[in-house]
Order: sequence, then structure tokens, then C-alpha cells
Amino acid sequence: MKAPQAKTVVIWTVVWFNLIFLALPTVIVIVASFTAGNIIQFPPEGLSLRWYASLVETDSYSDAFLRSLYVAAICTLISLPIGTLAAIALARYRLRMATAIQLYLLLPFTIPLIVSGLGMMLVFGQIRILGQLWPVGIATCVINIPFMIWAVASAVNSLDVDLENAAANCGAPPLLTFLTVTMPAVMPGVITGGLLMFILAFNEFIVSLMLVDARIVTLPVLVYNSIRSVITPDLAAIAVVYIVVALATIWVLDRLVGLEIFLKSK
Amino acid sequence: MVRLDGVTKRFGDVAAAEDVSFELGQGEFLTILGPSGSGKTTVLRMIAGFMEPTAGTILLGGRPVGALPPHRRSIGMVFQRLALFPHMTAAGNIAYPLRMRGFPRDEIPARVERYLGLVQLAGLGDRRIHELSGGQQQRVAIARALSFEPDLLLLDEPLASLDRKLREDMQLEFRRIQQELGVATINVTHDQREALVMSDRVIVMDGGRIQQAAAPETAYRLPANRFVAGFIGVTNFLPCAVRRSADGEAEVAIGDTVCAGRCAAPLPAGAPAEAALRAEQVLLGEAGQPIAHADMVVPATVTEVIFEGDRVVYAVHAAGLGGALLRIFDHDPLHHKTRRIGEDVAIGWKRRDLMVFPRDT
Repeated sequence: MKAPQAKTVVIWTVVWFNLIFLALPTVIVIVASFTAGNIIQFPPEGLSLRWYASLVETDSYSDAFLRSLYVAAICTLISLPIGTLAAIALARYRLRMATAIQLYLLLPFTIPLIVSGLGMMLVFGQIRILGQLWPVGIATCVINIPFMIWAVASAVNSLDVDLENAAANCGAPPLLTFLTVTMPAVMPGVITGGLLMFILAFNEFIVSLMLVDARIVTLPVLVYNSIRSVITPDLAAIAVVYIVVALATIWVLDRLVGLEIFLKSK
Repeated sequence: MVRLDGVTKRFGDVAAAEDVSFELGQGEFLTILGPSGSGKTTVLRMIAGFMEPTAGTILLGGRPVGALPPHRRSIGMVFQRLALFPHMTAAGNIAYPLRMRGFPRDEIPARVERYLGLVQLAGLGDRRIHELSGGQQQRVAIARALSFEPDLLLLDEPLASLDRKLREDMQLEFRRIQQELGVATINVTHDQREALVMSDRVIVMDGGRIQQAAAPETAYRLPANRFVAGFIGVTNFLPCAVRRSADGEAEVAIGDTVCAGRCAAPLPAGAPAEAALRAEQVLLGEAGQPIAHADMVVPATVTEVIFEGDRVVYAVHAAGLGGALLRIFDHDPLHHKTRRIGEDVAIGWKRRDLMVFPRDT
């Protein structure tokens, strides 16, 4: 009789330990961001919104925020068609050298970001596009594309293998089959992948750091620069902005796809 | 309606279907019955146009379809895993072939309603596919395959995944709808019961070849060969030697027992053969006594008794039949006494119930 009870205790201890340690840093940062004092500390010294106000007032922060959004948008727009088509092709059609292509597309996972960043810095410098913002979007797309392919491929794999045959049987020619059946059916995977790409590009630090200069710093790079000089509570406020963006993404995902479908597809 | 002439499909050296020929008339319900790997699905996919035959011709409505792509063929198909469009409602699925095949827009809603009614889903058209039960999804798949009034309906084992009760209901449902619409239908299955229940005609396939094409009752009563005899029904096969054979009859020796049976073609004397007896045609009687209606009686010992309610399944050991173990169905357990394991009994059969087939070598 005792064993199940002991098991329950162990399981719940582990669960709470995990929940607390996953959430603790986030909670501390959020609370600290509302401090009225001049240094980040926990518990905060009084409560105020002064550091949020300073975020909005400081042009360098809002500019960097918009640049990060721009990079994330470019990354998402490029990855949507590429990742979707590659995933459908790999999961659905018998391609020559499919395994090789799959490995090639997963390569970005195996290479340290610092190496990818260095490589892209050299290439972009060579073709003279370094110092602009849009190549950063392309770079974040390249290093994260496996996520997109993986999200769409898992949607494709959960489809009935005869889905396209069924459409043909209903009288749909191949192009219409793709547009009216294949694409809509994998849309949950496309949306999941797209949002993932957006948030990853928005957060990307190392590759950004190597590709931007002082005129076009993105938000993570700006945070890094600030940390190296003075650590002020506005950094905690920026952290909260990141949390809000992540939550917003999850909210959009839930509205468009449904979180239970998202979690099931993994 | 449909005709296949010597249709063959090879993958490399392997023939998935070999020289398959048959014809299907208007309103006829044909079942292709066979184990997995028998080539039955390959034949269906070639008719639908998802595969091209290596050799032979397929004619639809008198015209060879050759390389005609699937979307240009007037064929409705219910797929094994249904392949319903997950992002559409039930009504959306049924309307899809109508939209794709250019039906006038204003006619589509009424037609969708009619077919929802036909499959008894009236009022459920707005449901998404995943909100429907397994049986309801089956019905949507049937309605989608029929709504555009195809010349031919193909069923690719759509009932295989259902539980037994629902499967038997759906078999009758399919048959009702098919007869109501009078559409020529080819059904593919490995379920002999389904084949017998639903079909006007059965084609039994094995190893890519047609083994027998006949009415269900004929295939059951007069199996063309050992495979068909073994695949439809539960049959005891007893190794035997042919003593002489003529006029559709053969005299054989099963162990020490000499008896007669019918055979499709004359068999050479001395040839190894197999005598086949259906489990329900073996009669049980008291040890050492004659059995009414039986032409042959041999002693046996009960080795297994399984009471199934509507029947009792016995296994008996018959030393006089070369030590063979026979399976016997007693379909009237309320009026017969149930035998015990180890009990000595007599088993018998009618002369015409014993079939003799050449032994596969």
C-alpha cells in the first residue's frame, strides 16, 4: 500500500522542482523590472514603471526592437515557401538522394553558430552586403530552417498517404490538388514552423552579433552591449519585452492551430 | 462497364498482378478477395489510375483508359484509411468532387444534402471530420465517392479498421446504398465473410493471379483449387494418395481409409493429393455406431472443445485417417450433447462433401 504513495510523492516533488526552476528566473526578472531603484535587484527596491518609460523614451532601444522585428519578418517570409516545399517534397515524394538532401538540410544543426556566423560574415563581406539588415534575416533563416522543415514534415507525415490520390479521384488535377488539399492540410505545421522561425530570428544573438555593425544593432546585440557597460534595470524591462513577445507568439499559435494539436504533433 | 484484359503489373522481377482479366456489368457488385500481397489492391489502383499496368488493357465504358490520369476517370473510391480532407467539413468533403468536376454551383448544396441523407448523416454536414465517429467518417467517405455519380465505385478495404459489430452494419449499409444507386462496384477485402455477404460475384486472388471467379455460393460450394478451399471457410486438409479417378470423382486413400470424393479434373493414379472437408460438414456420432446421412464413418478421439455459444468447435484426432487432426463445427449445440476431451467418438461425412485437390508441390 505504501509504494504508490511514495511514488506519488516522488513524482510531485520532481514536477514542482521543475516548475519552480523553469519559472523562477522569469518571475524574478519580471518582478525586478518594476523596481524604483537604480540597480537590478531582487526583491526590488520599491515599485514603479520608470524603467519601462525609459525603454520607450530611449530611441536606441525602440530602433533595435524594430530592427529585430524586421529581421524576424524577413526570416519568416523566406522560410515559409522554402521550408514548406522542402518538407513536403522530402516527406511525400520518393526523391533520388532523399537521405542526402535531408542530411544537408539538417546540417545547420550540427555546426556551431559561431562558425556559421563567421562563414556568413565572410560570404556577405565578399558580395558586399555586410552592414545591411536584410542579410541578417537570411542568415537567421539559414541557421534555423531545420525547425521549419521539421514542423511541416511532422504535419505531412500525419496525413493519410492517399490524401492526394483521393483528391485526384475527386477530379482535381495535380496543381489544384496541391492548392486545395495538400497545402491546407499541412497548414497547422506551416503556421507552427513560421512562428517558430519568427521567434528564433527575433531572439537570435550570436549570428546577429557577427553580422551587424554599430548602426544596425538588433535588440539582443544591444542588450549584450549594455551589459558590458552598466547593468541597469531597463535590461530587466527588455527581458520582459522578450517574454511578452514569446507569450504573444504562443497565443497566436493557440488561436490559429490549437496548442493541443501543436503539442501532439511533436 | 469495366473490362480488364490480361492486366499485369510488375515491380522489377516481381509480378504483383499477373494476367488479370474480368468484366463487370452495370450495377454489379464484385469483390476481389485475397490475403495481403495477393495483388488485389494493385488491381484496384490500376483501375483508379494511380498505377499503370505493365501489360494488358483496362477499359472503362468500352474505352481503353491507358494513360488517362486519375482525375479524368469517372471513378469514385473509398480509401482504406478513408483519406478525408481534414481541413474541410463533412459537407465540404462531399462537395469537393462536385466543385472539381464542374457541377453548376447552385446545384451543389442540394446534391450534398441529398447524399448526406443517403448515408444517414442529415444535419451533420457542418461537422469537421475529426468531430465525427469512425462510422460517420465511413459514411462521409462513401458520400464523397458517390456524390458525382461515378460510373464505377471502388472500395479499398474501407471496413478493415472497424470493430466487428460496426463492420457488419456497414457491410449491409454499403450494399443497401450500392443497390439503391445501382452503381457498378469493385470491393477489395481479405475478409471472406464480407465477400460472401456483399457481393454478386467474387474473384479470389493469390500470388497476383485469379484463382477463381464465381458467385459467392459457388466459390464456397465448389472451390476451384486448394487455395480457394482453404481461404474461404474453415477446411480440414488430409494428405492422401489417389487410387483412381474418373468423371469428376476420385478414390483416395487417407491413411488406412479408402474413400471417394469429387475432384475438378481427373488425377493420375498414385499422385499425392489432399482431401478437403469443411469443418461444418464433418458429422459427429457415438463411437462404434453408424451416423445418419454419413457415407463414411471412422473412429476418432476428441482433443479439444471450445464452446462459442452459437456453435461448438471440436478438434478430433483420427488415427484411421493417417493420424490427422480435424476441426469440426457443431452448429446446433442446444440439441446435441457437448463432447468431453478424451471421449471416443465416430466422425463421418457425405461422399459429395469430400473434395480432392492435387497437392501443391
